[in-house]
Amino acid sequence: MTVAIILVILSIISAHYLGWLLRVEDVLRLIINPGSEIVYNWGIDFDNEKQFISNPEKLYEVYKLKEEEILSLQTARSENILLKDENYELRNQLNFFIQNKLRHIGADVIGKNIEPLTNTILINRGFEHGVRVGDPVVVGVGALIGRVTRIEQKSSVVRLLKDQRSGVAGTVLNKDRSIGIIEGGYGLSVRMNFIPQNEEIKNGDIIITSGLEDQVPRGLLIGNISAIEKELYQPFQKAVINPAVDLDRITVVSVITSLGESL
Amino acid sequence: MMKILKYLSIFVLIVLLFIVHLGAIYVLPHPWNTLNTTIVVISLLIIGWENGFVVWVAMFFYYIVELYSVSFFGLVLFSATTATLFTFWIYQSTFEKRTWFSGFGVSFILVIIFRGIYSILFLLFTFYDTGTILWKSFLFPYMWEIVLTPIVTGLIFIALNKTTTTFESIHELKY
Repeated sequence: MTVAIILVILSIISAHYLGWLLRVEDVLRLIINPGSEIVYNWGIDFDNEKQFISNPEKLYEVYKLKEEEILSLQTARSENILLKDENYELRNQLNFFIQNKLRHIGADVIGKNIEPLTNTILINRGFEHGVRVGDPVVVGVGALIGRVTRIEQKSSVVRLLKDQRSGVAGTVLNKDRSIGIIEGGYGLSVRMNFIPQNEEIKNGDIIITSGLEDQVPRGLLIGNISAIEKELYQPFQKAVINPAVDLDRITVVSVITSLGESL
Repeated sequence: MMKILKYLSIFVLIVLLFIVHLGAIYVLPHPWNTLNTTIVVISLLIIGWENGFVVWVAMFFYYIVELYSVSFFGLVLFSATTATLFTFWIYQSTFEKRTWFSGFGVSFILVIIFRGIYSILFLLFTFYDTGTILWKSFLFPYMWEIVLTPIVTGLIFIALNKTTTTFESIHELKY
């Protein structure tokens, strides 16, 4: 029996990588995804219920409104700073173009990671909708939450910023426009690493995407600095980031599919 | 015809079990969302069926889990199925009585072997990919799972022991 089981497992793995099981897997996902979406939404509703069990309903509504307002203000502020920089560049160049509008598609979150070592979400858009591996995923008014890491026909897996294998190039909106890499830590924190030691950063500084990677445009909001880790004689410092969005309660996202004209 | 219906009903139950597994992860608060309901069910099946067929059921179930995993395809499938197989062998050779302890023990052994194989393979693949190993990052996610899953299995076993004949303590073992 042992040999039979090992052989069957190896056959299944081989068949998967050869693409022979694609139809079977699509049918299974077609059956399971609706159930996953229902259960995921229950989970979100249950989390929201817990929040106002001890608070008056009105206070909760005001709290949610303020939360959205803060996100909008942070994004507006980062856009304003970028516009100032852009204005300065345009004055010194003969040929320029106005910042491209982003082409994107909306998606619902229908599930999240089922393994303890990963931090991902499952969305209901796949390659037949134009999603590609590496596409950035945003919420609200342009806050980055992660990138597409795997695509199927009608669904995709998004690796969140706090996943330990996540890595995004970021820029601090400080005087030096410090750059670094935004990395996750097994869901426990989001950090910006490799910030030059000699550049000044402070708590509250906003962090955006630097645009140095393919498919990820500049200017997507990531979060703000909540703590700084500096060690003498080290070439780089680190910052702990407070993400702009609660990565555990996402229900609707947008996938940026190209940097061309918006739909 | 009866056999087809039997396998179809097993398929439906496996799909429902997977959705229950998702429900436990999405709905239950921490640390209860670390409870591995699949291991609870498979442990009880090992004790209740006492038949190698449980390994094939586990294999099919973890194939479905694999579809929703972002690790390399085959990691969860191989780890969990071989863990189920080893646990079944250990159960056959070691456990003589059916008590709450056997439910607890089988579940504990299964989760330890599963996570052990999974962690080794995961580290091998991610080390190749990233060049770094964070040992302590494995402790926290698994700790609650290793504690809660056997306890819940033991409690469910006690309930089944009192309500069904399949899990009664005095039972002539099939092997």
